[in-house]
Amino acid sequence: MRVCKFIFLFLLLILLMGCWDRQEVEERALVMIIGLDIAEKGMLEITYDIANAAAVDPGGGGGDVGLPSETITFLAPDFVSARDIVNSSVSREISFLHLRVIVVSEELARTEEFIHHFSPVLRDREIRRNVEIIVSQEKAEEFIRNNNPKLEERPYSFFEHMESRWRETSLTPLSILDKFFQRMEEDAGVFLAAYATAEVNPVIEKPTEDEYIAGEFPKLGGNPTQVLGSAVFKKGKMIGVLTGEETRLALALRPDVETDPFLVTYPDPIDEDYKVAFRVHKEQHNRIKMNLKKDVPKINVTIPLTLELLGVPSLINYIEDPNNMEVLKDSITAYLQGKAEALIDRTQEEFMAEPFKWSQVARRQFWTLKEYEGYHWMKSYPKAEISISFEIEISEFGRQLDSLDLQKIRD
Amino acid sequence: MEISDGKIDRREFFAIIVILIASKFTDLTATIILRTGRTAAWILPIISFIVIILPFLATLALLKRFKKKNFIEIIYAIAGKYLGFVIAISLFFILLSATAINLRNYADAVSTMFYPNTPVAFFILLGAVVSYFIANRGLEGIGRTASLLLPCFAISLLLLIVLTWQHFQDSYLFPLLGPGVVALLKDGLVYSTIFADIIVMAVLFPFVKDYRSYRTASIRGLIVSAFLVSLFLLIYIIVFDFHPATVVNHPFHQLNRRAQLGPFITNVEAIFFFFWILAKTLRFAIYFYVMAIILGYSLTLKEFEPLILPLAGLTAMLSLIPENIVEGTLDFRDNFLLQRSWLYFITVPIVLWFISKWREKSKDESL
Repeated sequence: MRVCKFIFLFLLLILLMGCWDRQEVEERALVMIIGLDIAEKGMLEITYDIANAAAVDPGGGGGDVGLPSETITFLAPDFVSARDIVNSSVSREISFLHLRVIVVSEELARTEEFIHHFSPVLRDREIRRNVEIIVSQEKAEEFIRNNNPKLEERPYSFFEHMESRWRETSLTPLSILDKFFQRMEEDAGVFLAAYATAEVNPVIEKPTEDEYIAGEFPKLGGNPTQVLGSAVFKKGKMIGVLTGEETRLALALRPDVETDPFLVTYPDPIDEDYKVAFRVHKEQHNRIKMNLKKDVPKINVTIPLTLELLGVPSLINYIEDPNNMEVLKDSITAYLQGKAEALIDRTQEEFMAEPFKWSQVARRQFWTLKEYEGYHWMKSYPKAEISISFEIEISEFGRQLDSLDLQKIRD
Repeated sequence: MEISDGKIDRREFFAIIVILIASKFTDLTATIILRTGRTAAWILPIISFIVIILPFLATLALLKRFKKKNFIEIIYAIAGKYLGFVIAISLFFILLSATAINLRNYADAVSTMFYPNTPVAFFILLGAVVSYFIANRGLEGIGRTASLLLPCFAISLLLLIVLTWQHFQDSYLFPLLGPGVVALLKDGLVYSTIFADIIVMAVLFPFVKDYRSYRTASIRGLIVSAFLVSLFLLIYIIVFDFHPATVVNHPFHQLNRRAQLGPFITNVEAIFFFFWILAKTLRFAIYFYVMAIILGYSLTLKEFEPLILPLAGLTAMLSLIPENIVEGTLDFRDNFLLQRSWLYFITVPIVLWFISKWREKSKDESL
């Protein structure tokens, strides 16, 4: 009897491996980046960037292990069946377990059909919810092939590291799959996705450094890829683009702190030939007050910012002269206010919806779902009267208190 | 080591109750409540708890009055042979269909989320077999397993909360009253069957050490379970937002998938999966055992333990019937079981209590 029990338990252990769902690591082709483009007759052009597991192994053998990844592009009727078709020429079983990035071309994103093609991604078991979404100006296939990071061995680790950079500079939003669908289902605002290109079209005449969108930043050498600015999605369709500066402002206007300290320049109020450089810290939450009872909603937003003065090329003494300091603060406040109002006007007139997650504040004003859904935040937003005020504190000055006194030196 | 007397003590009974009832938030019960309550789904278990207090107290009073008898015997004593049989056997059928659907949910969850290529029938069979083995050990075996498992399960739940903390967005809770106060009260009443298990547990009364242990364990168990169900419904809402939460098939497992420790340690859901399977299997073991008792005493059989095996098999076979979870759970369980059987669970204990009180009074008067 005991022997029987042992044999039975042993057999059960074998079952632990999982018969039907057994997966060998070597038999899997790990797709790290997926690209989606529109093709004729309603088909999709899909690009898989498959990692070569052998080349990726850091300790693993020297010798010829081949390229770090293999990129294949093919036509498929939809996202799901593509996996099997591709096995007509890929020897391993496709796995999305380690997928990091989905690149969608702007052309596809701006169509009505985009969301129909994209929604199967939600049902797929293997795709993790924190996969990044990037919208590329050109075809996704070209973007993936032209992306050539010199400092990284593997193309997807470029995006892994870039995620941290995006969080630090806020020039591009952190756009993940989960939030894309959540924002779409909430149906109250627009979603900002990372905007990128690998074709460079430099625009030299932009006045400040963050008013570029992807591709306009003039740069020589290195990886041709630029991720700057954001693609605006409303109800699952792309409707516009925000510049890097507008993206930063949009993130700064959100109720929670979503920006790490970032570097900016503002016009120098006293010497117009120069700019003043700061590190902007957003440490406190915005204070957002809403009055939604009347026909015209009224929204008041106060944004507290802490600035660290880092560079004064004009060498004017802003720090120790309190008058200059006041002038500086007032000028920055006015500048930011102007930019914010311009962005808000744009969202009210062009997009007719907001990227600031203000719907989450609006929700608190209602007691039942019927009232909230009846109010229809997205429809009420464009007619809202919005007033913004910035509260600036200049708290730190870098390593030096006083700039160089050029007059004295040159005399 | 003391010689076991075939009875379970307060701690073991408490563990059984908590695992039985609280594990409801890990399956499609949560989806059902989220669909009705939406942003206020976490309030529904609280209302259901308040509703079930009265029948529960009536049950406790009956148990105290009749001393060593279990719930079925009490039903027979008060309602007589024929009506008593009707009441007892309906309880059995309610439990049988509930367990069969639950088993199907469990198998579906494992199959959908973790082993897509494996047939669902395999998990139904495996679950039934393992639960049978546990149930066969008797109530003491179940009790000891439960009291061992409960702290581990609780720690894994705590870990889950800590690891998903970063995804909490409290603004998703608003509007607070969701579908409105009236709708909430009505649904809270109808869905009070999620706590009906506490009344079913009265069939185990003779096996618990004494009335005081039974009473303390069941009161504490009910409160802890209501708290846990409400807490996790709240977490589902603040992580997913109310609309995606109603569409997501298995919210507990989706929550597990979001648990993350830093940027590199993702996919820790295997740990939670493990404890969840243990809790679920134990739950089916308890159900098999309780069904055997109910059937045995309803038919006034001499022994009920031999019934466990055929009941396990029957449950497994019934689990295979529904085509998919929509038909099985969202249709049958929600519309029929949960929404109709509340009447049974609320009225039976209270009516029985009234009848027994009235009879005692008339007996006193006639003396």
